[in-house]
Amino acid sequence: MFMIHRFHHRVIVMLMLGAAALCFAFHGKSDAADASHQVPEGMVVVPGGKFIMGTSDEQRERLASEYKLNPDLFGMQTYREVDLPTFFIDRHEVTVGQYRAFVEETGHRPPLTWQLNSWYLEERREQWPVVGVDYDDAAAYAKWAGKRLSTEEEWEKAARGADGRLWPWGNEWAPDVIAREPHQNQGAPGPWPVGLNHRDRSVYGALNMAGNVPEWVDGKLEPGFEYTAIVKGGGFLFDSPEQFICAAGVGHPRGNGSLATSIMFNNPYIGFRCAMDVPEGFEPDPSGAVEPPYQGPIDILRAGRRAPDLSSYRREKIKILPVANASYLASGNPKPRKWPQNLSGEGIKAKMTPWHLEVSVPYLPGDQFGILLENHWQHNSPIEEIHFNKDFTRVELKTGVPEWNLESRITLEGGLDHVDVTYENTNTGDTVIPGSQEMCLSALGAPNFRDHDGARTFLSTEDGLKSMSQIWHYVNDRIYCQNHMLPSKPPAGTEGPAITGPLIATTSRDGQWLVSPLSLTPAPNRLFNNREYSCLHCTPDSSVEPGETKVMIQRIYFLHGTLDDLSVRYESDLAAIAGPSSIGEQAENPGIKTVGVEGERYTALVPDTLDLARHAEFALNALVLGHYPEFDYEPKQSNRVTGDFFLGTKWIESFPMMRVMCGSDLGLDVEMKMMESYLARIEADGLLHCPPDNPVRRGGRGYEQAEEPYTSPYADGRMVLAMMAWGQRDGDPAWTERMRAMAEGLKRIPIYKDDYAYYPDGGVAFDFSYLRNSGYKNTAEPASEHAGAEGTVKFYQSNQMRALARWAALSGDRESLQVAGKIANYLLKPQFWEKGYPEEVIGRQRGQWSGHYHGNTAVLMGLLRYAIIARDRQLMELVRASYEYSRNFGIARIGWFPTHSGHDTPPKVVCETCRTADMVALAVELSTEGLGDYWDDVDGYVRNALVEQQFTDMDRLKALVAAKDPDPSWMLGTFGCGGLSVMDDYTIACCTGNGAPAMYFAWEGIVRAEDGVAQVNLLLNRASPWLDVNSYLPYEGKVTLHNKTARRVSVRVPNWVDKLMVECRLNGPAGPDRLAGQLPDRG
Amino acid sequence: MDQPVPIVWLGNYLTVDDLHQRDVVTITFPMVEETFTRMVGLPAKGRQSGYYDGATYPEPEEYTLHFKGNTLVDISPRDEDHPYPIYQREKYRTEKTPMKRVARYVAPYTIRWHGDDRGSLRSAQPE
Repeated sequence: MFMIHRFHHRVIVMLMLGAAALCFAFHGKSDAADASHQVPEGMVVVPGGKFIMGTSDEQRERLASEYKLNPDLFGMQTYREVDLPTFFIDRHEVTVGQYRAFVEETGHRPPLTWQLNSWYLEERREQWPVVGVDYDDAAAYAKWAGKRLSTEEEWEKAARGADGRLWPWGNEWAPDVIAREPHQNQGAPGPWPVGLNHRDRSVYGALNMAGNVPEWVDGKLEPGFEYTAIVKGGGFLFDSPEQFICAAGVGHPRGNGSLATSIMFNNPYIGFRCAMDVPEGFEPDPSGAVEPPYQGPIDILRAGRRAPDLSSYRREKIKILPVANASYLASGNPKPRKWPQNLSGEGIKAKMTPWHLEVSVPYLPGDQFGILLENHWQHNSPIEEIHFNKDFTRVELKTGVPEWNLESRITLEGGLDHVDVTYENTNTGDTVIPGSQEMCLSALGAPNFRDHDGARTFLSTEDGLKSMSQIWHYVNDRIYCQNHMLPSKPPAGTEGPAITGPLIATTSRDGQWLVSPLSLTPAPNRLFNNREYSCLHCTPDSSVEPGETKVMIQRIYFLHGTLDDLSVRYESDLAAIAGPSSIGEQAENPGIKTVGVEGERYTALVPDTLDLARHAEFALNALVLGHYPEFDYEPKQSNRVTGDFFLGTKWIESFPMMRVMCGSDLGLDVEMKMMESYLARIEADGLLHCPPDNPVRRGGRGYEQAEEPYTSPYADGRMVLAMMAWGQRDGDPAWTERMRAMAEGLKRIPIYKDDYAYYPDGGVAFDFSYLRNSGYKNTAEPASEHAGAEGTVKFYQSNQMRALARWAALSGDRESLQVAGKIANYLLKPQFWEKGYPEEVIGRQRGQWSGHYHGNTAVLMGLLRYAIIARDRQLMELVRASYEYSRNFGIARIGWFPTHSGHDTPPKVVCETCRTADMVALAVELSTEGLGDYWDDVDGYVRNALVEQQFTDMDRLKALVAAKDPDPSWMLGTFGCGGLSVMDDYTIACCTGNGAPAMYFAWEGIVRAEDGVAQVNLLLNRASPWLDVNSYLPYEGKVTLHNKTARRVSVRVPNWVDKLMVECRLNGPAGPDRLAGQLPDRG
Repeated sequence: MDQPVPIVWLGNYLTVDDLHQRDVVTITFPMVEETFTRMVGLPAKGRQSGYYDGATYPEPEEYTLHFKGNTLVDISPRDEDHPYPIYQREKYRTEKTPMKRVARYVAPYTIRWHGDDRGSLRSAQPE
């Protein structure tokens, strides 16, 4: 047993290598000449006797209470008294230098980690603990060194002494003891040199038993688990107090509480140390001072676990990487990234670890996930071909299981927040293949997600999502794998809900993220979790009939959000997968409430001056008549359809606003049908799709004809805004879910890069369209504002930003606000703004633009809304400056803004009403937010261009369009394009859809009230619950306010008024409006 | 009882306190009429620019605009033969306001569209 000759041999070898302090000969302490007290170099003695192992009930309660931990974490750490003889144990973990000597002498395989790029795994770090060794490697080293691995009991006693303390240094958690500095490798986590941290020191002088790296011990389990061994201690990737306690148990089902893992797993985070029996006659130093107290400086290297990075969430696609064959790499061959993309036959076997792939998630930089294609791995199937695309976001495999007559084509494709694994399995034999696929997703290399105790792993049950620690046969001494065929009922005599599926997920330690491999098609029939590997399986019925080719799609989610978010997302994706084949399959539409037009009505004698409520009646006429019910309620544009199916979203948003203004019930049924028609086109992906065969679509605009339904993200954003209006009108909670689904769709389809996101000009169907099945044909980032058929990039991002920001405020969905912010970041790029005028001004910082007026002002509305909700004062100021810049073109006093403007843009001498409408909205909102007083601007825009460019005179309209349309009655109330003194002879559906809401924005701003205080901002006619405003402008400089409920009123007097000449009277001389009964008779 | 109200200004806002139901506040001030001219058309600088098609760029033309307050009541020159002229507002040239009886409507709600939206849609709020 004790082989003294090998120790002498070691001394010779070590001296030859010049490796200091690596010999294993006995040496005597300076004050202990007695050989019976000699301790091998580099080891400490642990005196024999009883010690306390595991955690007591009291300790568990204390840990759970003080650190808010799940008591189940400690459920397996059996509290017991153990008696051990005296033994030696290494003072610290075996180092890289020590292990190198072993490798060089014996030819034993080097750790796989020495071949990888991670800085702390490099072989030249002599004093760092060796990692990347499996159990057998560790045992081989120990044998070579004339030692052995410690038993689990020995290790625990060496760490905690005899008194049952929780941590090596005592019973109080001391995070500073195992604290780590950001290391020299750009903050990446890693261990520290073995002798450096003397504060993590046991009573016997053993170092780093709480921190640094977990360690293999001689803990192979009993038959049935012989490929599993125990790992003790915390490590540099851990950070919770319970992970560092000496009992070091987080739910290993064997009953001793230690972390167990496969003996074949050469984890880059696990090291080991050795133990040794004491020689005959050995007596511990009677003084008890078996180790001199440490005198050196405390210089702890700290390297925290790399946390998820929300700022890079969904910016770039997830990568799927090959895992190299260890022996291949050990021979100095090129690393995986340098391989050719295509591998086949022997080339695969020589290079790759079969069936094992690594998932690299850009926003989870500290976590490495593994995918194991289980069936093929277990059957050692040949891989015929494997192809990685250039950026490792797509992998295609051709394989099979010959003895099953199974041929497989497997594709893995990384998305922005998920990886899709698609199997095409063909049964070429004449018997059924009962199960043709099994995929394992392992989080063992993902310290933020690793969950050996199961407390953060959740499954769907009949009572909702439950943690493994809440599921009936969680506590079982033998089963660390939970295998649930669905539905899985609790064993007889056991209480608990049935496991129903389909969800299985593990959340991150901070609870902010989750990983979940789910089956999209077919439905899963089995959920499986192996806590040893922190792995998850969600397996569908993968049986394949003879001659059948079965397609199965699994999606692995890596999400920021809650389990509820996962449920919603899964349902949405499930429906999208199920419904791409037909336009007729829509998202569930529970129907919309039929609303009436309720409210207070009375007659009053009022000044015959501008009354926006009257203009709202005109607008309703247009909204009700100006579309083609037979063509999906597509709005009319002049005497033809627009071709822009999506413009109807603006009309739908306008309906409730117009009715609030005027109370008309004209065409209520049409309004409902129009909304129903649009809702029916919102498909399961949450997006509003246009059928490619719509006979009235205009097509053209330079875009390729779509062969499948497509959406306009711009219109999707407007549809969300429309739903917000409808939801406020009828209060139906169904709108919330509809908006949520659309917001999810809008979040899913941008192109994410760095800190920004954009909706690209997809190149098919229509400006900036997204094909339902194929996505964007073109995802290129526009280089300037002047892209797309309409020559404006900003415009086609604007509604999405408004919608997501408003949805975020409504729902509390932080992610929506983040996406809106990323869109804003994109839109603030220099290429979208002018250089600046005058030259010393930076155009981008002052919001100076050129080109499509409406495109630029529409985006200002989006930026402003985002800035308000995100409390971004700098952005608010930019919008304000840009608004003022925009006033420079045309004649701001009347709201007449040329269609295209800018310093180098020729103004087309026509004003499409969209421009005026945007400026109304901006001026109202800027004023409302206190970013300026632009109410006079609003007054001028509304009194002039906005109402004059609405067709309200039937005789003139008939004369105008006689040659084109003999019956233009539907045009009455639409908005068109104005020259300075005449109207063009056509109407624009877009202008109607923007002009009508702009009237509402101004009307709503005329008077507002809160807590009995009314504020009149515009001297325009309006009836309100608080007071009625009667304006005599512009005939007379006079306004009367007829109070109803206000106790105080503030009235804004226009800038052009000489304030010294203003007079105010209360209950003044009876005027005609007063005598004629201004107030309703409330009985 | 008719009474003048001392005016308290807060910026551009005048304030009247202690109001009761059916009180009528009357605010009067002199109208201001203004006339100014503006050049509208194609600036020479941008004539060769333009990245969109189909636009016509007439020569710059001077327009005269006449305002009462913020209301444009007349504009010239005009295309006298155009079937749909706008800003034909001769009626506003008088100082006698015509009155009319109208049906007024007050909705029990408004549709919130500005601000930060919080609370505007109860059903969307998280539990």
